[in-house]
Amino acid sequence: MRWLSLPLALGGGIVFAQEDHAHHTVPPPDDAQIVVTINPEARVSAVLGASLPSPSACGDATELKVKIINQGKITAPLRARLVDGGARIGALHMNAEKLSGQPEDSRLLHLMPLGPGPVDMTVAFSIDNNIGDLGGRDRVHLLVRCGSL
Amino acid sequence: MLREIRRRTRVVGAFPDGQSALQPRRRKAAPHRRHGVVDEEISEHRVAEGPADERCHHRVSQGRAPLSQPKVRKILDTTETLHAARAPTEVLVTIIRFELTLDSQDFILTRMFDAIERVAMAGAYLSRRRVLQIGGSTAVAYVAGFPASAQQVNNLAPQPYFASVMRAIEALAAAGAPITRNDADWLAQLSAKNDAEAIGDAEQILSRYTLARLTLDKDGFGTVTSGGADKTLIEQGWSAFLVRVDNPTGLEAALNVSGSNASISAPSTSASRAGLWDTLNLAPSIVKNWFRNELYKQPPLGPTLSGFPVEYRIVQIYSRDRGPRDMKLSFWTSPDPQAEWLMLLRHKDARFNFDCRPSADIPLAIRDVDGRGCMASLIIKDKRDRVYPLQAMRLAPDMYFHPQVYRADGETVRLPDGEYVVESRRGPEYLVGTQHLVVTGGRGKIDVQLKRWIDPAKWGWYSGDTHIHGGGCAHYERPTEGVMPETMIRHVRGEGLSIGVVLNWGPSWYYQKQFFTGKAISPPAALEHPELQAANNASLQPKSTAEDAESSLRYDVEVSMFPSSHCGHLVLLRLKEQDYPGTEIIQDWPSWNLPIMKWAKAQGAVIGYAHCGSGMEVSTSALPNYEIPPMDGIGTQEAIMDVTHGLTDFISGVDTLPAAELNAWYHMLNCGFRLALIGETDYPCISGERPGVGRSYVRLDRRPIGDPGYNAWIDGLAAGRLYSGDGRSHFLEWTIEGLRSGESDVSLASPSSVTIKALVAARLEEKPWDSEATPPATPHPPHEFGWHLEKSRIAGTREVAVELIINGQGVEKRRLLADGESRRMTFSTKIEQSSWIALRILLSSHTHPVFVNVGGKPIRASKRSAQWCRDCVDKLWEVKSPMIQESERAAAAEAYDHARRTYDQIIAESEVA
Repeated sequence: MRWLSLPLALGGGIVFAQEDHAHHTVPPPDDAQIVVTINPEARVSAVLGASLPSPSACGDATELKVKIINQGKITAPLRARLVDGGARIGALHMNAEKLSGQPEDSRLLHLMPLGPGPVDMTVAFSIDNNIGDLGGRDRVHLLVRCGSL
Repeated sequence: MLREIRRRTRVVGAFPDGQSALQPRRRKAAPHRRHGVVDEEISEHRVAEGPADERCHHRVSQGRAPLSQPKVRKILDTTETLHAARAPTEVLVTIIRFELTLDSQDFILTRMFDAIERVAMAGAYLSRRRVLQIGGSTAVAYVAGFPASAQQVNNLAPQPYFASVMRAIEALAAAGAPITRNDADWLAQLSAKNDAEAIGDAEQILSRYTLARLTLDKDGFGTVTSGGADKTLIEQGWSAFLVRVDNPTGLEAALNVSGSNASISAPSTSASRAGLWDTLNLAPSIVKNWFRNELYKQPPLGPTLSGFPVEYRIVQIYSRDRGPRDMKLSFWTSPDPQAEWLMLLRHKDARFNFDCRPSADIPLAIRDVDGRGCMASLIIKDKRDRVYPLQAMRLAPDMYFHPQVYRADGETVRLPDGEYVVESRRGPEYLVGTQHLVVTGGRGKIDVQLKRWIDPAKWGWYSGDTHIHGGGCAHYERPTEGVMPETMIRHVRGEGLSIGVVLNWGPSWYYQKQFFTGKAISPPAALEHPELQAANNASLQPKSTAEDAESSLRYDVEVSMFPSSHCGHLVLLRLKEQDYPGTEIIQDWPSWNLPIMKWAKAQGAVIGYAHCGSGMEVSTSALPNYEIPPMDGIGTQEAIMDVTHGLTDFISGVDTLPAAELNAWYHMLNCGFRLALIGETDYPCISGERPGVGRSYVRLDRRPIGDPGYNAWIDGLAAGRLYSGDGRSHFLEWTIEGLRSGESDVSLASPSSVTIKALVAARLEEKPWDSEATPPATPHPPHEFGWHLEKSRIAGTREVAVELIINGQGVEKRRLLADGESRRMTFSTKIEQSSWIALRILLSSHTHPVFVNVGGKPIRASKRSAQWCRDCVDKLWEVKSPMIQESERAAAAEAYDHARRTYDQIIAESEVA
């Protein structure tokens, strides 16, 4: 009888789809580990994309590619920072130059745990003087370690 | 139990203190993949064991690179050194997992020994006394109903563990199931403590909220055991629990749960078949599927696992029922499409017994403008935007493809305690109502007072949808082949339609044809298939209302998925017989339309074509245009030929591309043919939103009631006393020289000016539909195809354009403020030749023409139109004739020749280019 409970797929989304923020409909980029979306109202949201690269040696930063989808044509700087106590366990650097205003932009973000790890780091993104997207969608959580294998 | 322990273990050595070191009796098995380079005796039954393997797995998974042999040996060497250093003291068991079930004790013992074995094989040397202690404590724990205590979670880095835990706690609160304040405070303190002991304490706290403990293998298949959470659900409501995920190989894939995709109904395959009625009783399968599971994938958790060895996720469970219920639960990350089945085969699921607390039947009061009770459309959502009742659990009269339910005054809807937003609608003539509902202690009430922005009936207009289906397309095929009249009438009443024509067609033809009676019906308030309702825990008691008789159904036929369908889908209204003479099955029917139309006409039917724009699309949307369509669809098609035989009363539109619909109609009108454009939905095929997305408004002296009323409505439609559209704009009055459409022609002895007067109303929201500030009048955005007043909005305003159309050409345009108020307009124009005149709000509504006769001549408004029609006949023959059966082709060829001659004659008679 359990066979009978399996459905033929008919727009399963009719039933189960929920409205998602715009960035959830963006297919994962080819090589960007983080995808940041700036909506027309300059609200910033972020999701993880491609797999993280292999850990760097301790003392070296791991480089992550950030793809920026700029729906709002914003030209202010995009900033990244460690939150939720992340500054005690890691260090972060991302060039805070102004966005080009083009529909797509990119940055390199460097993360380094302050110990061998693993550590859980939360990186939050923002546009100058603007609050992040609602519901904690302005940040990503990364499990980071160092040490060559 | 002691005898079993002795039987299953053997002494492999001894500690300096004299205690025996034990190893379970196992044969040498194939090396684990990750230890292929390691010379080690291992058991094929283990999952993740002890410190050495955990560290090994962590490095491999996190580094995504295989270990080199020297490094593996170094790890093991380290482990051995560690154990040696700890002798003569006993080494504590690191991880013990037990699968608590309600099955036999033998099963429990087997699982217990498996766990001890895993620990032993990991290199944790155990004394026999210690084993007995473990076994005894486990038994006690089982008897106490206490989840297996995590003695110690070794080698977990505290910071990422607590970061993950705190996010899970945050997500649990967002899911509506926060942990207690005390526990939250305690966890915060433990998080700050941030050491291994704190992890152990945190595990104790979290176990109280953990429904299931999941261990994933390297392939992404999970083994499930029960957690310590109180297993209580809410009838017709959602509950959220933690799932502890043991992820030793560091998988970062998306986690899936069983019971999240199955539906109690199966949609239609659109396959028509001759066969027996479905006599299989599917009620037991409906009873069985009483729940739905969802994994919480919103921030801060996200859709994928982090890769950390232990993390917590959230599963949300919806219960349809009340009382004691049980389910099997399984999880996996494997991309294998058969993963859920493999869970069953591998017995990696676990059974859970729940107690489902009852919800309450919330009473409804639904009143029309005049205070009478009626049916309405309700969309009920909780604070998290979840629709109630859950769509996946719906059986007729509630549709799984609707967010709305249709309820009458005095009926109920079952809701658990909580806060809700209720939106009420009743078709496009009504305003959307919104109210907030709080159900507390099973008490609450939904009180709906409907409001209209317009009532066309005051001007004698009554709406109908001539193309709705009771089976096929979005309708489910199981447990029944579509739905019954008792359900269809609820939707028609709930959308404020006077007439709903339910067309039987290929899909479910043999099942649905039982409802054809040759008369219009207004079924009483009842539910179909009471046994399925009971199986689905439905408590709805249908109630009659004072307005029930004001809506009627008429079962008729759409010739779709028949041999002639390639010529365009026929809509046959007011049939007396539904089976073409001499046919037993669909495949026996003619392979082109004209014979069917003759047969239908002979019995007094009103006949035409459905979704007329299909196959008529060209590169331009200009009206009129002269591009020859590809004729590769199921729209107007053969109608262009049939109309020359006097056998096309209408083409149906409002549901496909407007220019493709109107262009052919305009050209045929220009040739002097008098056919109507009527509004339809083709529900739930072109649109599953609701019946009445496309409508025809027919002018009558009185409200159509019963079969006589239906006949009057059809007569009015055939006579042209109508306008069609989306119901958001209305031509309440309109005359040309005082004559209305469907009355006699306007006769002019010679070219003269005529006066057109109209009373027009339309309603748009103040801001465009996609503006976040506007609550939409419909839960659905304007369809990509089809008509919608929103598409008619003049940019930046709340206005639309009312156009005067003469022979297909827009000759004058006026702006109308679409605020719901009716406004009078007057046009004046000179008519040079016999013509047809209509009004339209392009993409929303169109009147039927009034025909103007100048000098007693027929309408020959455009030579180009006639040539277009003539060329279309050739195109039709080119495309369609190969699909006409050989035996019928000669007769078809003759009919097409007749059409060619007719259009040639019209071309010759046309004086205007």
